[in-house]
Amino acid sequence: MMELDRRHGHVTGVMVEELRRGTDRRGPAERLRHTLDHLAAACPECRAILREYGQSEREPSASWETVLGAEVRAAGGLIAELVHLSPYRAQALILGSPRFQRWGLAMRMVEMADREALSSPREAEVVATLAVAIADQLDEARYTPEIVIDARARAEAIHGDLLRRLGDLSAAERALDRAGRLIARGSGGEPFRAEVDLARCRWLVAAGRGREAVRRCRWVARWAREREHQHLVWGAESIVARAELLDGNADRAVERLDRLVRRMRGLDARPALEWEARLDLAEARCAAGEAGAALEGLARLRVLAADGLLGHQWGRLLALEGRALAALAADGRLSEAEEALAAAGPVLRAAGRGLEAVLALVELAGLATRQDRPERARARVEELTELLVSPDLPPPALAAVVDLQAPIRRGEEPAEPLEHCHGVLSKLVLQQL
Amino acid sequence: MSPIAQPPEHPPPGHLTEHLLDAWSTGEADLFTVLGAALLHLEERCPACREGLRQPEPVDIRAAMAEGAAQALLRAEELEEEGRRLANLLAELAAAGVDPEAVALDVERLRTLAFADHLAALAGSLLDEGVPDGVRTGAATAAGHLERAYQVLLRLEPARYGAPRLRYTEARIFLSMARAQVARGDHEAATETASMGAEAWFQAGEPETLHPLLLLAMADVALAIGKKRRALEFFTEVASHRAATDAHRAVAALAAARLERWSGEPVAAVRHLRTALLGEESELEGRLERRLRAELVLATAAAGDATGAGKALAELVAGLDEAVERAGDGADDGADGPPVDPLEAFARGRVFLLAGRRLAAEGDLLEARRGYLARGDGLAATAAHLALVGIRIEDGRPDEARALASDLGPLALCPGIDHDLLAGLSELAGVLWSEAAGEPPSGATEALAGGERMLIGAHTRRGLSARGDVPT
Repeated sequence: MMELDRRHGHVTGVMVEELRRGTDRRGPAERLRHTLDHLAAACPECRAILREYGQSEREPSASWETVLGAEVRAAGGLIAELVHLSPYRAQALILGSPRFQRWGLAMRMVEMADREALSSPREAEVVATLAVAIADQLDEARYTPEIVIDARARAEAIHGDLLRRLGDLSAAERALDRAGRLIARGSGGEPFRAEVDLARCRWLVAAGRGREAVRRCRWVARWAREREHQHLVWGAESIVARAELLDGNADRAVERLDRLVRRMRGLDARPALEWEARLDLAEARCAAGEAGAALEGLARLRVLAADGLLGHQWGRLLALEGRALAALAADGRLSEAEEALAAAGPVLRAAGRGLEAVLALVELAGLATRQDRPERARARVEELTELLVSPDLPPPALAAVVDLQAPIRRGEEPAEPLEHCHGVLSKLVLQQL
Repeated sequence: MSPIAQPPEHPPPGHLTEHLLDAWSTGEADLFTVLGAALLHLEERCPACREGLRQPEPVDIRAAMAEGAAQALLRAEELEEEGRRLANLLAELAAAGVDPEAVALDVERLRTLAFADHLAALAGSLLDEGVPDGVRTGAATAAGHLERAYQVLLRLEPARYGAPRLRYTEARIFLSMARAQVARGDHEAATETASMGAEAWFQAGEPETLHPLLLLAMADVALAIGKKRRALEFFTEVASHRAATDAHRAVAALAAARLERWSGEPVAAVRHLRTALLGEESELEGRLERRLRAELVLATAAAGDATGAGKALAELVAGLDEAVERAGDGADDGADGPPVDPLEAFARGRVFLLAGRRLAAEGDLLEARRGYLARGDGLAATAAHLALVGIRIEDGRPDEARALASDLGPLALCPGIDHDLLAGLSELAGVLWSEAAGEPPSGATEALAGGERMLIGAHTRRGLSARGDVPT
């Protein structure tokens, strides 16, 4: 009987014995694929034999592409079946039923998670978890190892990025590490590797390792620019700008984001990304003391996006308008600022952005202090209690709020504690975005 | 692994046979299960199916069942062998400095039922122990083990192990997972997982050994959704269940005692605890026994029995001394004295309070608060925090009460702190500060009582069977 060595693809006695006993978890088809890989890659004799059988099976033929396309089209119904189940039931179904072990389904779910990441990160994370489970079950014999590894890497990468967005940095790091390991096994093309690199950079920013993120982003941006991968350049630039903002370099962030918005204008197939960049620019301008320019930019965004802004983007726009108006105190526009910030809070809360809602309220308290209305400021600080129940507040934000309330309740001058709290919360918001 | 196919209630003639044979051929069910299900169905439900099976060839069910039983016996021996191999492998990996759990799904040789069982047992003990390193962190670790166990289980072939045996482990995993989910505050998932655990338990043939675990999981879910009396019934049933382990009995007695105490029935609480302590004293693990004894102090104190509480405290302290002695010189790790267990400090504080030694009580409660904060157990630290605020209000020290009530930053930083509870504590501080300095704040007692109610609510929302210290 022919023997294959496991490392080099040769048949071995152990393998045959496992096949006989049924203890090798890999199916016969996968074993055959393994053997063919070996034959084609390493052994001239085998290659000659294979040539007699015509082209390699691994070349996706037109019919193969048709099959994958059909899988993607059929995925809608399967997704509807999965998303209504509890995680355990869905996982059991994915593992137990070949209907769900489809590349097309995994890819549709990765896309879905990516699409929902900005507006509904919690729901998107559930979808990404299932995408990981499906990708893990794909049969390499059916799809080729390259396609399967690529699907796994994509699912892990989007899952990691969503976990980061939800504040679970250690789980996010593990998922991104897994994606990195899969990429090292040859997954995907270079653009995809760069995307995962960017996800890693966002994680680094969230973990407070902005400088490291900037170094990696610069490398990605240079690479992407040479190959004209615009989205990757934009992604890298916006991460660098965020790191600069966190590092206190608001002017540099403004310069970078301004350039970015100019380049993105009208070119982006997903305007939500351009709008996000415009909001980032307004944020940087506020931090750089360019409140007037920030307001102009936000006014343009109102016209440009009309009613198309996502819930949290709308809330963020209002909050930034409030912040910018507050900075223009000399123009006597504090009441307008108050109005905008007061309107932002409920919108942000409804969009599940409790942390940003807290920040808006702290800014309202700051406004009252500047207007020499200490009772009003105190009342705003008391209102924060209600927002403590928001599930997205990480412990440092909770601590910042209660540590703000203590001195103000003691009757201390509120300006300094408010400024401190504002600093902590602003940083947390930038890390979470 | 999909559930074992149950025959449809009224299939057309012949369909039942195909259905079961399909399940067998795809490995969803083994022969033993297939024939067992057929027999059950034939006898209990559907005469039409009986006809269907008779034709075209009669099946000798008894002979087939006997064959299935023989196979099952063989599997039990194989499983024992698998368990032995696993123990050797784990020892080998540990000696090589490899964390077997970290590589669980990558190591082919660990893909066994024995490994899934091993992880489930590990998680179960962690939950029974009250996850000493901070409830939420410990529950997360337990949940991690259970996740891995489930991933292993899903990849095991029913044809090799027998579907009922896989169902047994599945039930064990789901029921423990439900407890861990309640402890982490994920009630919706816990309810679903507990019901899946119950389903697996039924399908595994209602094994008595898992019944106490089922009752514990149901009790936690009942608590999480506010059904206290129902939860108490479940806990009481576990405490006297003949198949319950010592740890299960202790955990159930503790939980029942706490519920009784919180419901204003401290005498009933004392009864639960004494039964558990008398029945299992020599068998209990040190930590569980100390938790029972500390709870006994709190319950006796709540019943207003200062002498009984003092006696219970003496027993608790004696137990601690023994534990320190047993641990040897290294127990305090070079510190000035033995490590202070915050639960014991809390219990001592309660007894001193009952005895009117308020200064000593305050010292112990401060110690307890510090200890719980160091552990990151926000709920337990809140109990000490509220007790201290209460003492200062009652002693007419409103400024000190306000200062302490506002010191919420360290509590907010505890991992997994209950956001509702923190909001309640902030509100309490707000009420205390709303009056002029130096004046006893009006409404303080009410606000404090509200804080305590919120704390009890937070505890029950996190379940009680997997909770460590819950000293309200």
